[in-house]
Amino acid sequence: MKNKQSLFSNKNKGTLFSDEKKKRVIVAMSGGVDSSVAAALLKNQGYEVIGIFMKFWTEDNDKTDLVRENICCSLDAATAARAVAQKLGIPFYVVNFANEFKKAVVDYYIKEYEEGRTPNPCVICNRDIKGEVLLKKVLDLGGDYLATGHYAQIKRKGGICHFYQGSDEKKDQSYFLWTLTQEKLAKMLFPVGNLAKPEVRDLARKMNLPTAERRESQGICFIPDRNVADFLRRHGKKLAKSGPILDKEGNVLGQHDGLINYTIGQREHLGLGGPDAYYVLELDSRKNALVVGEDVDLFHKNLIVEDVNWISPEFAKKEKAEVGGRIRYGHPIEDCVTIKVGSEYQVSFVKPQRAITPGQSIVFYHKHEMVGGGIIKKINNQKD
Amino acid sequence: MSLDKQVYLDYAATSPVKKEVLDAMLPYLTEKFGNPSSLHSWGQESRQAVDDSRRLIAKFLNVKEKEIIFTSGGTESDNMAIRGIIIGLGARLKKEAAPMHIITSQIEHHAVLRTCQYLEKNGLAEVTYLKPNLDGIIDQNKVKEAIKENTALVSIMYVNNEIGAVQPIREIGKMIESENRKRTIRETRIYFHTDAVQATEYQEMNVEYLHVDLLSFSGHKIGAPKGVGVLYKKENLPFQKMIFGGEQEMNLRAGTENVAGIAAIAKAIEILQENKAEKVEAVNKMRNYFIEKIEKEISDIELNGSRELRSPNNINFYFKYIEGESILLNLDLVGIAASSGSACTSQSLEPSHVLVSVYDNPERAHGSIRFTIGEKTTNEEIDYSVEKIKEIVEKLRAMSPLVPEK
Repeated sequence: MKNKQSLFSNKNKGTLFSDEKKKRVIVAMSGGVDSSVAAALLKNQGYEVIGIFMKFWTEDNDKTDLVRENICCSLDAATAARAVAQKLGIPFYVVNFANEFKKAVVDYYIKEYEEGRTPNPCVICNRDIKGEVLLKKVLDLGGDYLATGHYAQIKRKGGICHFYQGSDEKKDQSYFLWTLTQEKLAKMLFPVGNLAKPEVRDLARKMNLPTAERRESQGICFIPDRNVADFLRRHGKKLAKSGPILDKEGNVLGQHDGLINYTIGQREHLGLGGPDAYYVLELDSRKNALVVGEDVDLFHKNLIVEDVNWISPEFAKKEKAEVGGRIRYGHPIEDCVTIKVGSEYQVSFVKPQRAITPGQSIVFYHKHEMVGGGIIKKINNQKD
Repeated sequence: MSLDKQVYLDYAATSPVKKEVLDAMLPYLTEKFGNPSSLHSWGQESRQAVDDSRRLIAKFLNVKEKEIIFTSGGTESDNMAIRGIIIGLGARLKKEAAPMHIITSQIEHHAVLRTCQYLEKNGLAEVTYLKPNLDGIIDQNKVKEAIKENTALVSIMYVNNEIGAVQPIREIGKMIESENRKRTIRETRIYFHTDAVQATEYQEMNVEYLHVDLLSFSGHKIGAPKGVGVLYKKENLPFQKMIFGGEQEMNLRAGTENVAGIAAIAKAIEILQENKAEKVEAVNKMRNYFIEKIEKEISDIELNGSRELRSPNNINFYFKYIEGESILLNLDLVGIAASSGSACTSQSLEPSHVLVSVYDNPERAHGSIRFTIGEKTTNEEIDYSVEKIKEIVEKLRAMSPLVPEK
């Protein structure tokens, strides 16, 4: 096998069919307004634009029942994306990544839950699907760049890609993109990253894009009814078993009805009686136990992070760094220090953080630049 | 995007309407617009077009006029044939009788497969899906072995749309006839349907020669427009219609006739019979040229389907180490139309059920491309296409992590 990295080196820059003066950009079009505007802006800037719609896995894919009544949402999205491509007069293709998506994202998602962690499938999709399979397709098509409708910005200085938050802070999606690398970023464009969402909608209206008023997608794409517990009940059998509810000291307080029903930080009466509600502190999948306590028990300063990826070459070199850390999407960025310990990093926040959740990503910032990230392995009790 | 050259190599997907066909159909859209069921002269004019067309097609298939049913296309013809027989027989048989048995193959068009699966799911039939041999051919002995007491229908396609494998329809038909002779008068006969959508232009279509009871074909594959097809159904078969309403098409398919489409499909049949042998030979030669050229120019490839029992218009290759999807998209970007078999409604590519069935190798299914040529395809077009295919394959292989190190 050849080294996979070579895929993204300059040697393979797709120039066979691409006019050097007119760079070819492949836009991942989801049927949403952001990627629609991204495609339109690139077209107006004079790029040769090709639209690609990715078909991901849905539960129907695995059913033998041949009447697939539930594909309307994805067909709907594909139709919307195609309508934009037709309006712009660009080639448009639907590619089927169902198998790759199932393996990389869905199986991972289920397995993480089974191990008592709370995964972030969008992060993994960006790493393994958009950042690998799709980027490979872009190179296959002779594309110079892959563009998406993410709210994030790349600023290229001295041969290095600096990854900045989207300028619309409410919409900033840099959190989901920490797995990207310099090699990949060199081939990526985020045409709406410097715009605010209302500006994007305005542009879509001005350009008469048929997706201008399309609703925003929410939640996890392969769980359209957003019922995670039901989905996991169907796919992760051992998660539905009842087990003990423990306090911090390990005393049994009662029985829970399956770990899938709980997330860290959740406030529940748990049928245990008494006036006070309990807070979920931990999902212990080995013992199939739910560990509960008081709200104050949810606050921690120290954690251990694995699978760390530094986008910034400057930060990659550091054994110790002062950065801003964000422990989940939408959470504020708070001051912390990272210290390299073997292949992992110890992270210490200045202020305690509520409900640090293993499996979620922690993403590091330096001012508005996103410099890297990793996956939360556990709370570092020894230091707390 | 401006392209210097465009080459259409997807004639099995659909074909352009021929000039003579267009001329033949146009009057029935404009001045001769009458409803064939109307008694007045407008109606009679249209009626004559439908009758003439039916006569011409009956003659082409060597059957009776009343055995020709005009439909909306190959898919409707297939649906109608299979459901018509199974539900028609069910009405004749007693309720407590076991569901009827259908024998078909794993490599049929979805119009057949989905219909069988629908009947299966609703408890109206049990179905055996035969696996083809390594050339993509259904062995008639396997059909014979699959026959059971309650077997009522065999449906095997004439020419496979993806790999061009030509099935031994005549042999299967004769075998079924001899099986039927062994049956008592109380037992149901076995009826034989063939989907001949991909065979019409190039194979023997004489029903008496083929020994079939039902046969489907479509207009848009042979130079007529989309939206018209034919089902041949032998007279006096137990048969239930699917579309209810008026008494058009011998009371077997309701709805005002698509007169222009019917005139068109008849004209297309008339044209394809002129010098058929020479035309088939010419396309066959072109196909061989295409196959040989690819085999000479490009390494690490395999021909899908049978070399000998192969439709004259079909070229289908497995290009190792790379994805067919990427080849197709790149071909489209340089103006060459090909296919990987069947496209689903969302235009995305599913792994071909035909290649999966024949080769048991998902990689082969993902790495294969079908080119289908037509009468108008030229050597120059083939030369140009093979040159582009070669460039694309080499480019993709240079980037593929699957290519073994030399």
